[in-house]
Amino acid sequence: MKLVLLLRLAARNVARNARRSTLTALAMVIGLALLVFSRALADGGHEDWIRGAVRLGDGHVVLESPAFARSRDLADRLTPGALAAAERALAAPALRPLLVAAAPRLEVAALATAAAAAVPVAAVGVDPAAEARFSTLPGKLTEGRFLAPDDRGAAYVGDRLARRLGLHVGSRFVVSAQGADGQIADQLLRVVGVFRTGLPDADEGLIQVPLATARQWLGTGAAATAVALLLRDSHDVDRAAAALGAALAGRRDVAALSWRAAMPELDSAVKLDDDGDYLMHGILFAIIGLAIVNTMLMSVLNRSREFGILRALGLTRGQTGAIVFGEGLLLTAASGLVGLALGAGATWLLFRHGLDYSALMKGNITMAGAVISPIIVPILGPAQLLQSLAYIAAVGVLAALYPAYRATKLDLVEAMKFDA
Amino acid sequence: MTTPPAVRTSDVWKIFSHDGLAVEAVRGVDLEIARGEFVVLAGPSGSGKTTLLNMLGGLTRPTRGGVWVDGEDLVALPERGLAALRLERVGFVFQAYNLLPVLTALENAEFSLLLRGVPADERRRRVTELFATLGIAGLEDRRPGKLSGGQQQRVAVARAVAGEPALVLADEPTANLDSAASAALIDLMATLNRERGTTFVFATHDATLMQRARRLVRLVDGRVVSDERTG
Amino acid sequence: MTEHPWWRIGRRSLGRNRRRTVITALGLAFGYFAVVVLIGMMLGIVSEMVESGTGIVSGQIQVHAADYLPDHSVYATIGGDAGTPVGPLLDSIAADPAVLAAAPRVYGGGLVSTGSATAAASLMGVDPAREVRVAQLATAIVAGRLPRPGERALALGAELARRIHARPGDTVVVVAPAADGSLGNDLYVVAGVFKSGVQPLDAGTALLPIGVLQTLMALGPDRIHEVAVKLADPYAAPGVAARLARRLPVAGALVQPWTVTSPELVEYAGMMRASNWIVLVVVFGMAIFGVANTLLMATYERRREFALLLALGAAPRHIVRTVVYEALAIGVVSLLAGAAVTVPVLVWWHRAPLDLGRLFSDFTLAGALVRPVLKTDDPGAWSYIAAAALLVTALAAAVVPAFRAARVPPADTLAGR
Repeated sequence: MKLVLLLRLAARNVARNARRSTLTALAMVIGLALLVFSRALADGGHEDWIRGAVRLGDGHVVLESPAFARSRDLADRLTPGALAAAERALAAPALRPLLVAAAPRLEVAALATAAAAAVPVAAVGVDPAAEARFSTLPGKLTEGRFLAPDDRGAAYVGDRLARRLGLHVGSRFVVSAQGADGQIADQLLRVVGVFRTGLPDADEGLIQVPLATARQWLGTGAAATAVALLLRDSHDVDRAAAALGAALAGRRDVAALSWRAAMPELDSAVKLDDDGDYLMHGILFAIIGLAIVNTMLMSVLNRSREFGILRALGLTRGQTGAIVFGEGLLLTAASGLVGLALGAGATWLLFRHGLDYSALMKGNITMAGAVISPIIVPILGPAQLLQSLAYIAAVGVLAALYPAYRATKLDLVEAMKFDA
Repeated sequence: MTTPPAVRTSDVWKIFSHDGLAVEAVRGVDLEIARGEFVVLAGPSGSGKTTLLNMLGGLTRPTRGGVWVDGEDLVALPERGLAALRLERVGFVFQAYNLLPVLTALENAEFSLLLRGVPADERRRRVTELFATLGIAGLEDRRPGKLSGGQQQRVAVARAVAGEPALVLADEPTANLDSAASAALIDLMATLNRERGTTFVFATHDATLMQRARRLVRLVDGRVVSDERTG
Repeated sequence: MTEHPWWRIGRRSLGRNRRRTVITALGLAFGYFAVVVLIGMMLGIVSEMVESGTGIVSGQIQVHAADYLPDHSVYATIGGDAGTPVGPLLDSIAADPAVLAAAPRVYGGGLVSTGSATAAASLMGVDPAREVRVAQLATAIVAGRLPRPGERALALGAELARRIHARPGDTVVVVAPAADGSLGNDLYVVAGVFKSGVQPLDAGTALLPIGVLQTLMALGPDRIHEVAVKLADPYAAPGVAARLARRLPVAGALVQPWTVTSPELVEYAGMMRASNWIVLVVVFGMAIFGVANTLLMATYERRREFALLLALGAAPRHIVRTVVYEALAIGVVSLLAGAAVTVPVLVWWHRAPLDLGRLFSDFTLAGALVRPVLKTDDPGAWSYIAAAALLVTALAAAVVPAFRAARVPPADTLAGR
C-alpha cells in the first residue's frame, strides 16, 4: 500500500513541476526518437545491401558440398544424388512460406577469349526461369535480352567484359575451362545480352549461360555446383538454414550455408556498420544520461525543505529515495512512449518512401559485393523498437539512481533550515 | 537653495492582485524624511512596511500617488532611471542574502562603487575605512560563506554606505542576528548616521531597533497610525 | 577586481556547486572526445582505404596509352605500336621529387595449368626490383620469392595456387593469346606464392618478369601497357600527375591520378566528410540540451543573487552577461579537459591501433580493402571545428537561461515570494 502512495507522490511531483519535468523528458524524447529513426534507417539500409548482394551472389542460403565451399573446384560439385536430396529438402512444407526462389548453378572459373584478348571470368550455368525470379542480374540489362529457357550456346555478359573482348549482341567468343574429366574444354558462345551492375568484378568477370549448355560443355551430366535460395526476409535465414540442415542431416555431400558464412565480407561490413551505430548511440545516451543526472540531482537538492517536511511527517530515508526514483521511472516511461511515437511516426510519415541522399553520393559506391543504393527505405521492426525502448529505459533508470541515493542522504534538520 | 528631503511620498498606494483578490498593502501614506534622519517604520507583519520601503527604493512601483527620493520623481522614472537611482543614490541592507557568494567581502563592499566607475585606489580607501569603523578590518578577503551573520550584515552596511547615498534602506537588518550582534549592528549604523549624516530608514519589528529610533513611524494595515520623534 | 566584474562573477560561479559543474563539464568534454576520436578513426579508415586502394597494386598515378582504358586492349601500348624506350620513360617519371618509384607493367590473360588442374588467370608482367617499391602485392610473398628478371618463372596468387595444386618449385604451362594473333604457350617454374588479401588478385593473378611475358605475347621490349607510380603523399596525386604529363617524353599517353581512375574512392571520402559533420551536429546538439537544462535550473536557484544585483543597480544586460560568461567558463574548462584526454588517445591509437580483426574480417568498400584496424589519423581542422562547436554549444545553451535570469523581479524574489 505504501508503494502506491509513494508512486502517487512521485507522480504529483512530476506533474507539478511541469517545466522542469518537460526539460528533462525532452532530452530523453529526442534521444529516443533519433535512436528509432537511425535504427530504422540502418535496418533498411542493411536489408537493401544484403538483398542486393545475395541476389547477385549465392542467395540467402546456398546448398552446396562443404568441400566445394572451400575449393570451388568443379570436382566438388553436387552429384545428381545430392542434387535430388537437396530438391527433396526444399520441398518441405516448413520451408515453403519462407522461400521465394531456388536457382541451381553450375559455376566454373574459365578464360574468355576473343580477338587478341583473354580475360578470366566466372562462367555460371543457370536455369533462366529460376534465375529471373531469383536474381537482379536480368534486370540490369543494357542491350539485347536475358537468357531464354530454350537457348543453347547463349551468353549474358557484363558491359566491361564486352568492351574488353570487343563484343556486341550477336558476337561470338570462346570460353575455356577444365571440365569434369580434367581436360581443357572449349565452348563457343553467342552474346544475347549485356548487363551493367556497377560492380567492376561482376561487369568484367561474370558471364551467365544456360545450365544445359554448361553441363554439356563441362561434361558434368545433370549436376550443379550449388543451389542458391532467395528468402522473403533476410531475418529468416537462420530458421531456413536450420530446417534445411535438419532435412539434410547425415549427408556429407551437401549442406546448407547461410550468406553470413558464404559471404563473410558482407557480414563483416554489416556488423561493423551496426557496431558503429551502437557506438554513436552509446555516446549520445551517455551525454543524455549525464544531463538527466544533473537535472534530477538539482531538483532533489532544491526541494530539500519539502523532503524535510515529508521526513518530519514520518517517511523514512528509503521512502524518500523511492519517491525520487519513482519520479525518474515515471519520467522515463513517459519519455519512452512519447519518444517512440515521435520517432516511429516521424520516420514513417516523412520517409516511408525512402530517404534519398543521392545528393551526397554522386556515383555508385560498392561494398562487399553490393552496390549501395542512395535511396534507403527505413524499416520499423517491433523487435528493434522494443530494443530501443529498453535502451532508453536503462539510461533513465541508471540516471535516476544517484539522485535517489542523494535523496536518502538528506539530513532532516539541515533541510528544514534552508529556505528552498 | 534648500536641499530636497531624502524622501517624500504623497498619498502613495500599493495594491497587489493575488488570484483575483486585491490586497491593499499600502494605503495612502504621506511621509517626509529629511536628510540625516534615523527613521524606523514599525509594525506587525502585513502592515505594509516592507512594501513601502521597496517603493522608496524603486524596487516596486506605486499603484497610485507620488514618491520622490532626493528630489527625483520615481513615478516618472523609466526602469533604467530606477536602476541608476539604486546604483547612485540609494543603499540597501536586507534581512538575509545580502552578499554575492562568489565575491570576497571587499569585492562585495566596493561593488556599487565599481559599477559607478570609481577608480580602484579610491574604492579601496573608502571601503577599508568603513571596515575599520564597522569593526571588520581584516576580513576583506573572506567569502560570505566564511563570515558570521553579524559580519555579513556589516559588510552589507559598508556596501550600502560606501557610495555616500542620499538614503540607506534597511529591511529587517537584525532579524537573523542574536541580541549581541543586533545591538552592535544598530550601534554602528547610529554611528554612521551621526558621523556622516547618512539618512537611515528601517523597516522592522525588532523592539531594540525601535527603541534606538529618533523617529518612529508606526504602520498598521498599510496606514500610518503614529509618527513620533524621540530624542 | 577589473572594472567589469561580470566575467569574474560568471567564472567564479562554477565553484558554487562543484558537483554540478563537474557533471556538466564531463558531458561536454566527453562529447568533444567522442566526436574528435570518432572523426580521427573515420579519417584513418579513409586513409587506409586510399593506401590499400592505390597501394596494393594500382599505384597513386598510372600512365597508359590514351586508348588503353577502358578496353585494356593488348595492342594499346604506350607510344603506340612501336612502343617507347622504357628506361628513359621511367627515369623521366622518377626524376620528379614527389615520386618515390615507378614500375612498368604488361597485362594479358591466359590459362595456367599444372598436370592435374587448370585455371584462368590475369597475367601481369613486372620488373621485380621496381615493382616491390610501388606495389604491396610484390612484397606480399608468403612462400618462395618473386621471379627474377629474364627468369622463366612466375609468382601465383595464393588462392590460384591452391586451386591448381601448385607449390614453389612446380612447373606450370601458361597459354595466352599473343599480339600477333597466335596462341603463345610455354613452361614456367613457380617461383613463389603471394597473398594480398584482395580476392580477385589472390584467386586470379600471376606475376611474370616483364620481358618473359612480352616474349610469350609477342610484344617487343619497348611495348608496355602501363607505368604505375608511387608517391609519398597520395593526396598530391592530381598535381603531380599534371606535372608529369607536361614532361613525359612520349606522345599520346595519359597520366591519371587515382582520383580519376578510382572515382568510387573519392566519392566515399566525400561521404565521409559529410558524415563527420552529421556526427558533430548530432552529438553537440544533444549536449546543448544537457547544458541548457542544467543552466536553467542553476539560474533558478540563484535568482536571489540576480535580484540582489538588480537591486544594487546593475542592468539586466549585466545579468545576461554573467550567465553567458559562466557558460563560456564551463565551455573552456570542458574543452581543456576533453583535449587533455583526446590528444593522448589519438596518438596512442595512431601508433598502436585497435585491432578488431578477431571480431570482424576484412571487406572491400569502394574498391579498396578495409581492414578492421582502427588507426586514427590526425583530425586536423576537425579538432578546431569541434572545439568551436563545443563553445558554441555552451553559449547557445546559455541564451534562454540568461534572459530568464535577467527577468527576475527583484522585490518579489528578495522578499522570498
